[in-house]
Amino acid sequence: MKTQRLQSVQNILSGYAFVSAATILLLLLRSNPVFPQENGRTNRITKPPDIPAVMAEIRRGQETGDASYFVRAEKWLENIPPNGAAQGHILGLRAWIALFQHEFEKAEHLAEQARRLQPLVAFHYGVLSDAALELGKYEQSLQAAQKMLNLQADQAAYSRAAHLRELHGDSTGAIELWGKAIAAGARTPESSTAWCQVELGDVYWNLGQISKAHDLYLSALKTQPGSHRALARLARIHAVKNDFETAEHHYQQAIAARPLPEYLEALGDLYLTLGREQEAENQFAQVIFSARLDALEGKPPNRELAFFYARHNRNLMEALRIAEAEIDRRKDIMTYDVLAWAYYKNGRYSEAETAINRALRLGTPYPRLYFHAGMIATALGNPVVAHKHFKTALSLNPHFDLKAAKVAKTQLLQHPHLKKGGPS
Amino acid sequence: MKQHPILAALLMLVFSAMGVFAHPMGNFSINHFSALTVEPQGIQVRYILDFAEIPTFQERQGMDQNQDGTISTTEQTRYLEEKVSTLSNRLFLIIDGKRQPLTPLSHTLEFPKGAGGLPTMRLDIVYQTPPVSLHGRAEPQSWMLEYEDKNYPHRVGWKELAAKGVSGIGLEGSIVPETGSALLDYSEAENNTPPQILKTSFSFHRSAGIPPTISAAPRPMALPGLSQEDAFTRLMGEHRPSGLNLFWILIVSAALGAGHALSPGHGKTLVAAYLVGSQGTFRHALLLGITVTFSHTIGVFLLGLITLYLSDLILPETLYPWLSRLSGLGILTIGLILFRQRWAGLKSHTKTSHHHHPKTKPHDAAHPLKHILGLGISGGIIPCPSALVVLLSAVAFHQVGFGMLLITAFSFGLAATLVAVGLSVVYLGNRFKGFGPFGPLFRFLPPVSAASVSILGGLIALGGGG
Repeated sequence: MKTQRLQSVQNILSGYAFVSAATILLLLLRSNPVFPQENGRTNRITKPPDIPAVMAEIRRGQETGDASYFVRAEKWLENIPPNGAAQGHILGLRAWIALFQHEFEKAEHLAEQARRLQPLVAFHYGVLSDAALELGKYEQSLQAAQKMLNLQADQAAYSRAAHLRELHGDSTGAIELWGKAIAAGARTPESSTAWCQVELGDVYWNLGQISKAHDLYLSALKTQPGSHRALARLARIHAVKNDFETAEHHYQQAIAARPLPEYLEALGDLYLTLGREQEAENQFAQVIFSARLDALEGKPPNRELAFFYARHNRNLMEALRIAEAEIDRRKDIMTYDVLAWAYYKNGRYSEAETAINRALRLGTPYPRLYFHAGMIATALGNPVVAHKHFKTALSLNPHFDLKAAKVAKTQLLQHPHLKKGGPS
Repeated sequence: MKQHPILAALLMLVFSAMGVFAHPMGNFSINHFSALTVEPQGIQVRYILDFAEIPTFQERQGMDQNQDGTISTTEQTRYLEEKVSTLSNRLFLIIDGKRQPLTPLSHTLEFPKGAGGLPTMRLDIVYQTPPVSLHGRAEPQSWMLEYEDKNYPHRVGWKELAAKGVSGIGLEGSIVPETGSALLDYSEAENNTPPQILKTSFSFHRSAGIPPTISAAPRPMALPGLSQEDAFTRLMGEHRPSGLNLFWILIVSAALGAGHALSPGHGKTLVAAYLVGSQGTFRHALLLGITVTFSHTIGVFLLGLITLYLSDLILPETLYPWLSRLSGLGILTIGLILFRQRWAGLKSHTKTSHHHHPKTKPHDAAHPLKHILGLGISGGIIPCPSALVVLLSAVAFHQVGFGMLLITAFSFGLAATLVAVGLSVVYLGNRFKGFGPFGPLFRFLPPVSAASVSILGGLIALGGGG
């Protein structure tokens, strides 16, 4: 009996000794990593474990619009030895940086490489989906977003799926998924709840549900005090409500945080509405100055500048040149819209029609697209189609743009005979 | 002289790159620097703002009041006067709860060339508060200073603060350095995220012996139950093994282990509660103490492995409560089995006591080893966060051997305390067995102690216990 007890104690102690020895061995190996971690469930993560600082830096760049964060992040990536799982993560992060630097084909290529190395890392599918979207490859973008969602249903995945749903005309589905994205919370550096709240607000704005949009922008400001995106959108709402003083104040707050061309242009438009032309001109001068600075730094001019020129009837040839160059890099519906508008302003209506049809191919419920389609159809002498487009734009959001909404309403009034009989 | 075409191209590339080099903090940035100098004459604030190209363009638009595209000296002077005043409105310097007015002493405005020769703007202002009366004040002669720069909130950029005391003024509790970059050198941002410090607070006093500035040292990773001031954790971070030092570190580690065993959650109550009713021997006490310690160490190893290899799938912090619950349920089960056996033993003893069976043993005496091992493993499996941090730090420092040694020494200390508790209980139990007027009450001790084990198990499962 005594021997038996002694035996069982010995067995247990041997077990302990074995576990201890194994632990020591594994820990020693860990301190000199030799384990390849290319595949398998251990890689099923959205955040590369070894380089969270890089991710945080890229995220800061995304939030601030300050390109120096991307440059720094890229430099840090160069210093990380690409062994083991790090190789896939580095490729994924380089793809993410390329995305923010508007190098979409490079982003797609790098993300694809990262995905091949780490087929179970959700993050890579997110970047792949974004890059495909910007390149106008919506089917691939959908597939990648779906895989990301299957791997990890978090804010980053829901927000991509929500945006794709909206682009494909499913606003109800988009609202549902943006809600899920907000509820999921920001658990990874590539996601942001305030960002999602603004995006959901934008869906409501595009549907003309201004009160809901307003509430969401306020929520975003609560989540992220001083959010320039939320402030600029609140300004837009106050402007359509003719509360110009608050609108001006909010635009100025947004610009004080980030003098982004789109905010400067919107404030300029507001000043134009108020007849304060010199102040409007000051804002527009800043837009042009920013473009000049970008050109000095070797950045290609972007579609926003082309759209600015086209909207304000300035440098129209240049607007078209920029839009045509941009469509070579970026084939999404918004770039086609800008191209269409640049053609229209240059009097090339037939090419404008082709471009706007490309922009409308997904049935995206953006009033701006339908307004442009209506103007192009009018120029081509097709009032029935024009009427349909103007009606769609205004039925989506009768206040979609301070100036354009008025034009659309005037156009509808010019063709009253189409109101009853025309297609809706 | 004929120039080499490739060299010429390279030179052109270099010069054009130099000419268009963007602001290191980005074209949108407005960069802040405040240097506070606390002196008997008052607090001096050197406030520098470095505007990148875009904000400079905006400021110059504001300066050019007649909108003629050029900035005259009059326009610049008027702008400066207004700017110096509006900036001070959003600089908050508070001493002992009272905001101090900031009077400008001097200012300079420059337009260094930035990207493509476009101007940037550098504004350098020195403000001064009124003198702080450092005499004729009741003890303690210490003042609280709070400072916050609220200019250009949410704008990207480098945001830096420095503070120092001069002429016999000492600062206490300041976490900012005494000097800074003055926005002349951004090279640190190549390897680090730019500083974002816009406010600070510290106390200052008139003293010969100036206390050292306290720096914000990085803290060890936070795990549930781990105090940030944990002495054992610091052993890994602050000491490296070398000669005699190693011996003392191990002694300290063992002593910390011995002390740590007295903190909640280390099975000492369990050891006592079991042994008090089991008529345990010294051998049992020794075995129970050692088993708890062994399983404790193994628990650390296993959790360490999970943290290092499986943290993508299982988060250690989510594992803690489950391990505690599992451990608690194990103890509860063994406690209930013991209680049933001991209660049956008590009843059988009561029935047979008038037949004068002098030495009836509790039923669990038949399986003491099984129960001791079961209890020891269940009680010890809740890993100690301090030991885990040491293990992970050891991996991070590439000092695995040293880390294991520390944990082993720590475990020895832990074992020593638990065994000492067990031996004391056994000794006291033998000493007072059947003793005095309460002698008959000792009959109830086995089931009562088994019930205590069950309660302890329940408490651990619910998140308490010790």
